[in-house]
Order: sequence, then C-alpha cells, then structure tokens
Amino acid sequence: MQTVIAQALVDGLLNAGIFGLAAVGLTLLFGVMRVVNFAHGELLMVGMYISYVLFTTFHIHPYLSVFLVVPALALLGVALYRFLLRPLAGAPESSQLLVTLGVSMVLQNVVLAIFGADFRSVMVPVANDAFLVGPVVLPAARLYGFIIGMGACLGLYLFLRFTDFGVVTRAAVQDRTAAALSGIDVEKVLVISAAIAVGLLGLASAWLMPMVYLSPAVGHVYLLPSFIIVILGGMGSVRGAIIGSIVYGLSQSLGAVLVPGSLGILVPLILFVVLLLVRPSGLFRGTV
Amino acid sequence: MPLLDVAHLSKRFGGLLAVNDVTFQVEAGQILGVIGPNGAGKSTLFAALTGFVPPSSGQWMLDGKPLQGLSPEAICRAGVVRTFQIMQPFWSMSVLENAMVAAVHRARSRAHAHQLASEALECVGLTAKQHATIGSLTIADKKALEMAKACASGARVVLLDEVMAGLRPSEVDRVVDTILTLRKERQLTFLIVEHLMDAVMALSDEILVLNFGAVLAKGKPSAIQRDPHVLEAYLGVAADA
Amino acid sequence: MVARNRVVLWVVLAVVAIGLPWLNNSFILTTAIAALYLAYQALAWNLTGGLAGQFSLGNTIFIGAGAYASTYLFITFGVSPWIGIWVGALIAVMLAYLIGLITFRLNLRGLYFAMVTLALAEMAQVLVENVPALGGAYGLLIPVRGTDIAAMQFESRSVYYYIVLAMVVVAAMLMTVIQRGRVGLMLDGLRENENAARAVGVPVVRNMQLVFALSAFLAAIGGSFMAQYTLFIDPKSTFAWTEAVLFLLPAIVGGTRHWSGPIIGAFLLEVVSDSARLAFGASVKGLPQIIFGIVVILVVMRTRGGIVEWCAVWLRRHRLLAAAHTTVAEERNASA
Repeated sequence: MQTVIAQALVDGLLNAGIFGLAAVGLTLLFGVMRVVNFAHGELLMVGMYISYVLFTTFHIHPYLSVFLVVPALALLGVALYRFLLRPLAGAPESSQLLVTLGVSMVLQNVVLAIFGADFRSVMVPVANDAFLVGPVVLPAARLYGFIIGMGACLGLYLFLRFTDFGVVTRAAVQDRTAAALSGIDVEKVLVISAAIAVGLLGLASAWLMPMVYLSPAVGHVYLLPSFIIVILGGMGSVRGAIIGSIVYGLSQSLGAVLVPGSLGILVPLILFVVLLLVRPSGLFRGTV
Repeated sequence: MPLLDVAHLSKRFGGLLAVNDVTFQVEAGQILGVIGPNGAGKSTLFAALTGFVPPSSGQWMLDGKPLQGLSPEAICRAGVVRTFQIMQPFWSMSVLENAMVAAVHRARSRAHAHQLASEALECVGLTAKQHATIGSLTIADKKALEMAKACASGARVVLLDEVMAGLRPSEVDRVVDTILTLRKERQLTFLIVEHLMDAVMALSDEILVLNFGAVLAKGKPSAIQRDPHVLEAYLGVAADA
Repeated sequence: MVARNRVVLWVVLAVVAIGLPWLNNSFILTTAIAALYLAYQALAWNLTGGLAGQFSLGNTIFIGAGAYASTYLFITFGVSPWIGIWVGALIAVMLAYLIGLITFRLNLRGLYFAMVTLALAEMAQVLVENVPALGGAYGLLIPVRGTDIAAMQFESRSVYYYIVLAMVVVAAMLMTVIQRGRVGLMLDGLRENENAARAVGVPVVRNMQLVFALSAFLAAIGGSFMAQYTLFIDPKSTFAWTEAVLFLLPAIVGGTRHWSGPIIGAFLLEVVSDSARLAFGASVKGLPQIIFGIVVILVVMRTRGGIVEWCAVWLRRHRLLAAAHTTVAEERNASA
C-alpha cells in the first residue's frame, strides 16, 4: 500500500509538470489580457499534431521538434491575439470567451477532418524507458516532462519577478491605463505575453507526445484541469498556477488509487468546489 | 433617536487606516456636509456605510436597525442609498429606464416601477429628457439622474458623493435646489461629500470634518469655519497669519 | 414592421408550423424535431445566459436529471413518464438551487460560474457512470411500447413534433414574460452594471437563483422528452461538453435579447449541420462544427446581439435611409 501511495505521489508530481505549462500560460493570458482562453486545450493539441507530423514526415524526435513547435505556437498565439482578441478589447468578457470557444471548435474539427479520429502515437524509445527508485517507477518521458515543464514555469516566474520586462508586464496586469500613461508599450507586452503563453503550450505538447495517445480530443482533457488550477491558484498568479498544478496533479493521482472505480476523477473536482467555497479568489493574488 | 447612528466605524486596508473610529449621528431631515482633504476617507466612509466595503470594526444603525454586515442591496432596501463619485449609469438604457431599475425593487410590477421612476425624474427636473440616451446627457443631467435614481430607490438617507463636482455655478445652484426640494417633499436626509465650500456651508445644517480617516470636528457651519484645527488641516489660513 | 405584415407573418408561421407533418416527409419532420429541441434547450439556457448574463456550461446536469429521473422511474417502478418528467424537473430545480448557493451567493459569477458548472457537469458524468442502477457507462434503454400514451411513446413521429413545438412556444413565452416584467428589468440592470444595480436595491442572488432554477426546470423537461423520443440515454452523450456547448450556440448566434434569437439560431445551425453532412458526408468529418465555430467567431466579432439584432439594426438603417431618400426627393420636387 505504501508503494502504491508513493507511486501515486510521484505520478501526480510528474504530471504537474505538464499541467503547470498549460496553467501558467492560461493564467498569464488572463492576467495580462483578461481573456478566458477556451481554446487553450486545442492549441496544445495542435502543437502535438505538428510534432507528430514532424516525426512521421521528417523523423524528427518529438523532443527536438520543440525548436519548431514552440515558435509555431508562439506565432499562433500572437495571431490569435492580433486578429481575434485585440479587436474585442472593449467588448464584454463573454465575447472573448465565445471567440476562443469558436476557435477551439474550429481547431478541433479541422484537425479531425485532416487526420481523422484515430488514435495515434509516437513510437520512440523514451516512451518505454523508466527509472526505478526503490519500488517506485519513474517513467522517463514523464520525468523529463516534469523537469522541462517545471523548469519553464519557474523560468517564467523568475522572468516576471526579476527582469525589467517582467516588471513591465506586471504593471500592465495591474493597471493597463496607468502602465500606458507611464510610457509602457502595452501592445508589446500583450503580444509577447500571447507568444509566451501559447509558446509554453508548444513546449508542453512536444514533451507530451511520447506519453499519450494523440487524437483531436486530447486537448480538451487539459482544458478543465487548466482552468481549475488557474482559479485555485488565483487568476493571473503564476506562482499560484505552479503550486496549483502540483496540488491538482497530486489530488488526481491519489484519487485514482484511493477511490474505487472511476470515481477517482471526482477527487480533484470536489477539491476544486470545496476550495472555491473556502477561498474563491484563489491562493494568491498578483502575478508573482 | 437619531435617524442614522454611526459608532466607531473603522476600515483598514493593510497598513492604511482609511477610516479611523468614526462616530456621529444624523437626525431625520438633516443635511450633513462631509468635508476634508483628499484621502481623508470620505468615499471609503460612504462605501462602508452602504455595504460596498466591509468595515474592519464598528456599527451603524438606521432608525435603530443595525446595518453592518448587510449587502449593498439590503442596505438600500433598509433605507440608505449612495451615488457614486465616478458616475455609474446604465449606459445602454434610457434615462427613464435607469430610474426604473432604481425603483423596481420596491415596485409591484414594471408599470409600477415606471410610475415611481417618472415621479423621481420629475423631482429632479429630468422629465423632458426621460427617453434620452445616457450618452446624450450633459454632466449636470447625469448628476441629476444619479439623484433621481437615489430618489427612486425609496431610501430615506441619501449619500451624495461629490455630486457638484465639475458643474458650473448655475448647475450647482440647480443641484442645491433639488436637494432642498427633495428634503422638503420627500422628507429625505442627506450626507453630502463636497469640496465646494460655499455650497456646502450654505446647504448643510451641520458639517462633519474628516482628516486622515478620523473625525476632526462636527458642528454648525459657522463654528466649523472658525475652528482652528479645521482651518489648519483643510480650509486654509490667511497668508499673513 | 407594419402591423399588417406582422399578422401575415405570424399566420404563415403558424400554418407552416402546424401543417408540417402533413408534408409526410420523414426527413423534414425529423430535422424539424431536432431543430425545435435545440431551440428549446437554447431558450432554456438563455434564461440564465442571455437574461442574467451568466454562462452556464452545466445545463447538461439538468437535462440528465430529467432524462434519468423519468427513465429510471419508468423502467424500475413503471411510473408513467408524464409524472416522471415533473420529478426530474423538481430534482433539477433543487440541484440548481444548490449550485446557486455555492456560486451566486459567494459572488462567484462570470467565468467562475462557467467553470464551476463545467466541473459539476464532468462530476455528474462520472457519478452516473459509477451507478449500476442508472445503467453505468452503458446507459439505459427504454422498452419500446409502440403507441402507448401512458408510457409517452408514439408510433407516429408527428406527436413528438407537436409536443416539442408546444414546448418551444411555452419556453419562448416564458422568456418574454420574464424579460418584460420586474425580474427582466432587474436583470437588465445587473447585467449592465452590477454594482450600480445593487446600490439601488436590486437583489443579485435572488434574481440569479430564480432564472437559474427556471432554466434548470425547462432543461430537465427537455431531457425527459428527449429520453422518450430516442428511447435511450447514456452518460457520455448526455453530459458531454459538446452537448453543453451545442445548447448555447443558437442563442449566441441568433441573439440573446429576443425569443426569436435562439429559435432562429437553432434552425440555422441545424440546417448547416444537415447540409454539411449531406454535401460532404463522411469525407470531411466535423465540418458542421467547423462552420459553427466560424459562425460564432463572426457573430461575436461583427455583431453585438447576434443575427437577430444585426438584422434589426440593418432594417432600421435601411428604413432610415429610405426615409432620408424620400425626404430629399420631396425637397427637390418642392423647390423645382
């Protein structure tokens, strides 16, 4: 039993790496643009398909495909901002929600039309590698995913906390008008934030490839967890998203082993509802 | 018994004590002017009294009924309503509809709300513009609309937050007239935050002076104008004194 | 619109609506039922989404409550669905009240409300999948009884058509009554500027709870109807995220401010969906959803109130232009 729990703890922690990348980007988008990005899961999925195509056509290892996928997704993020979100700057919150919802529908079904609904996977050695620490199995792919994922999240946190541009971004989050009046190029902040947020998804997708079966619906699986993590951590808080993803990952894996049947999925959801009752604004406030 | 009884109201924002142990009473039908330097806590006081900002401590009562802990809408229905310093009309609705929203909580039906709203608009002189859009209103009209909404809500105590700011002298006179008319015809009680000293001094029965969140003085306008503490903190001393 | 034109329009609509089954075309009837059901659920959603501005992504919970309640009672205890429907609706209302307690009451609106309802819908799916009595992941099958009025089953599809038509009419009327009454006025104020509305005494929680409960009530009845129509329910298709999205699309596309919006939106989406399927069939999967997605994006970016409002604005401008032209022409004639 102890082994099972230890394994669950490790699994949960490792999963947090990928959750973190998605959540951190989502919270950044919300903080900077007040945008609720319903297409977040689908963008991740698109990244994965790009990685898949690169693998099957050019035999580029998914981990190496980052160098192409991240810029591609960053560009996609900027395009999303420039053509769909910026025009809706003054519109009610629901408009952006709906637009991203529309984008998610289009993305998911275009991919469906092109690739079909079949599950695909990338057969690379790392998919089957694992490390053994005592009785606990650490799948290599998940471990690397955790290291890269958490590393990137921490990198973003440090970037926002300590660099000049980070300070400028945080200023724009706090009060866009005041920031603009202080001479900050708010447009640049928004563009770069969009690029970072979706670019991180590209990072996540490349690292996810060896771990999961790919299908057009795979992105949606990450949508609800991402939102839950963002709300729990505090909307706009990168620190909250990092910690929230660890909490979520752990509750999900512990729930899966401790609760019978498929009810384990309920654990993080119930946790979410309970935490909302206790602290609706989330764990942290502010961006960092 | 005073109509509005405020006891030891305080509000702390982290390290800043915005409202500091404020205690005062307002009699029914009175006009209480609230003055003080910027940042003295006047708007925070109003926000706390109407439930928009939960106080750190203190109580206040309307006609003996405790109001602390109630939601803004409950406080309004109990009888205390505020206007906003930065005006908050319902932009996409007409003037009449704006007033109707204010009246609807105490109306039996939409038609009844219509009637109550029309009466309120007449009190402030906006009947001619009742179908106008908010965008077409002048500042003076918008301020009058804020007062009409306060009136339509059926509250007994109206907290006016800088309702004369940005108005020309003739418009200020109009506001003063409206306040006096409302007091007389609707038996309303007013708390008025203002920086226009002439108007406030002339209009108020009593003045409450706030400084750094605390009550500096309370009394008749003539007494306040001579109070050395008030002069030093806010009204200003003559250059050669 | 001129009064006479309006009456003509209504008469034509009524004739078409009532006379549709006489066309004896199974495809048209089936499509019409699908479109009307979509319109009905869209109207139900719109009570919360459009009138109160709160985007519920969890109406599937109420639809499921209705479907499972009436079906379970019928299969297990032989209770007539005509009664089972109301049980389901009651359960849905209670659920809505509870959900409202943990959202509206705690000031969790907007995005939070959407997320909580979404999370709860996922929870509902998992819960039902794990209850064998409710059919687990496989769902429940309703035994076919041919035409059995007590069991709410009819051989002739036309009966279902008239039932759902009546449901749409009732839902549209309900929306209008609320919108034009006290509650509608209060919701308008809350949607425009919640703080300002609260400052003048408009209760937030009470109003939101009310429309949310009504929304749930209608949705559950719809769920029971659909269960009786298809004679099969399962957790995946009932609680799916795609379903939740499907029922809000017509209101967004058609317009949330008038009862015609969700109905027009529903028919539009249904026509698109069927045309795409007919034209491209299996070759381009997901084409209807791609089109829906694009339509949503266009509608949100180009209009403020959906297609209905866009048409209204266009008509008004057209009429103003026509009037302007007439005036100019008259002036020219007068001065000539």
